[in-house]
Amino acid sequence: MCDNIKDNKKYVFRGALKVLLFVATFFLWSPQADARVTVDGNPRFRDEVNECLGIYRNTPGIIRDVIRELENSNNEHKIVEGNGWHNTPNNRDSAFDGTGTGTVTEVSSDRLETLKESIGALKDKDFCTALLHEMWHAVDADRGGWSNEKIDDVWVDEIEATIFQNFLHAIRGVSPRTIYGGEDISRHLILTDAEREDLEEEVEEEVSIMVVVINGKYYPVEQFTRCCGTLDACACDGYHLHSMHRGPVFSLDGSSITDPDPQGCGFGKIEDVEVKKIEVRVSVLDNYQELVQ
Amino acid sequence: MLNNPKKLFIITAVVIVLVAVFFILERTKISPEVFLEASTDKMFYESGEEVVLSVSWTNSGSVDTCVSDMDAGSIRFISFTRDGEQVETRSAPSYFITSFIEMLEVSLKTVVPGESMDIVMVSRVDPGLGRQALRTTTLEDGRGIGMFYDVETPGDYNLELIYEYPGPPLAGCPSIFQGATNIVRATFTVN
Repeated sequence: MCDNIKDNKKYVFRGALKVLLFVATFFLWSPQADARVTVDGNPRFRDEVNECLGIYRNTPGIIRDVIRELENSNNEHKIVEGNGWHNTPNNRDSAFDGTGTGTVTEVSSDRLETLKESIGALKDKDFCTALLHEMWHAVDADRGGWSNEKIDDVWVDEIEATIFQNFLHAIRGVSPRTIYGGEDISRHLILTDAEREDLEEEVEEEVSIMVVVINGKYYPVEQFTRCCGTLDACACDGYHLHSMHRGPVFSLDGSSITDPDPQGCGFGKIEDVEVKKIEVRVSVLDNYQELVQ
Repeated sequence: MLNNPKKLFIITAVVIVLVAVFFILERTKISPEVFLEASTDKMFYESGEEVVLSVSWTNSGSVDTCVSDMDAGSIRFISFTRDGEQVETRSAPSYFITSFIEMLEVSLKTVVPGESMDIVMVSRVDPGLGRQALRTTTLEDGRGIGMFYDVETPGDYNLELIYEYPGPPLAGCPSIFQGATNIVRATFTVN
């Protein structure tokens, strides 16, 4: 009995730890120009998927972080229309051995409605929730973190995916899912108050900053100066950006670039350069500030 | 009593008749029967084109029968060759929306005699093989294992398949067809 409780705690802890570790990996996040999540299907299907990802992509929390991690992965993750409702790695070994691999997720909203009629545990799953459950498997495969372990006849990976799914349930205000494959897994889904608070604190530590987007990377605007079009000494026929101190400028991921055209239009004319406001974790900003000091 | 040849004869005759009746009843016992058919939508495909395999299983018996309404788990390629050689394959586990066993369980549907379950299997590009592939799924240790078969490389393809439900019974389905059907063959060419 005691051994069982220990085992259960071990798995719950492992699941929670994996989710927490994920948050830590976000610190390494750096946006890239090429989205690595591709959607293949008819226009209605693509709209459904993109709407789902769009809702949570900019909602602070672990779900956003999973979407962004997939979108910035070196592996391609395809979402295709089909009745299978499954996630499959592109390379079996790499999904398990830490190497990491892309995946294909086959989903369908029509098929989901049919399945909900037969499977009570799916009653609170809308298309987006069910899709994001599969996206957890995708990100787990991307890290090479799939496991062959089971607890109470349920794959540990599915328990983790259900923990992740329940964050979404909490946002939507519906009861947590406690049944998987007909098995009651409620006792494996519990996070301690301390773990939950840690997770929520990690997720909330963010600030808004303005950045210049160059080749998909984010450079805080404070490093740039606007030059005065025809009145300055530059050979440029419009307002444009130079480095504030004529040295390199740093992106949030720590990489740097130098002014490509110091005597001309610098980093580009104002109308050609993308400037936008983003949410960034305080620790990422701290790392950046240490770099530029 | 056994010393009486007449009585011995009658007892022997009764036993023989009972045994014969038992075997006749066994042979005529009603059991579900399912007949499988399969064909591709074309005889010739261009390399990289989607291959469409239509499969149908029909209740060919005389009683209502439960069969799966999905190809995953139930359709198995027992032979898949191109120009006489085994095609390239790969396998990988899948995580489903619920356990694969439960997916199989709820896939069971009742079909009345003469009724068919029609499924269309369409190839798609499998990033693992890097080519158009047809997929089947098998049940292994409670997990769904996807098997991908290359159908893009040019050549003459010959495949043989069967239907066989591998999952657990379902309360609402007292008569499940759980044996293997007839083997059916489909052929096509990729140019």
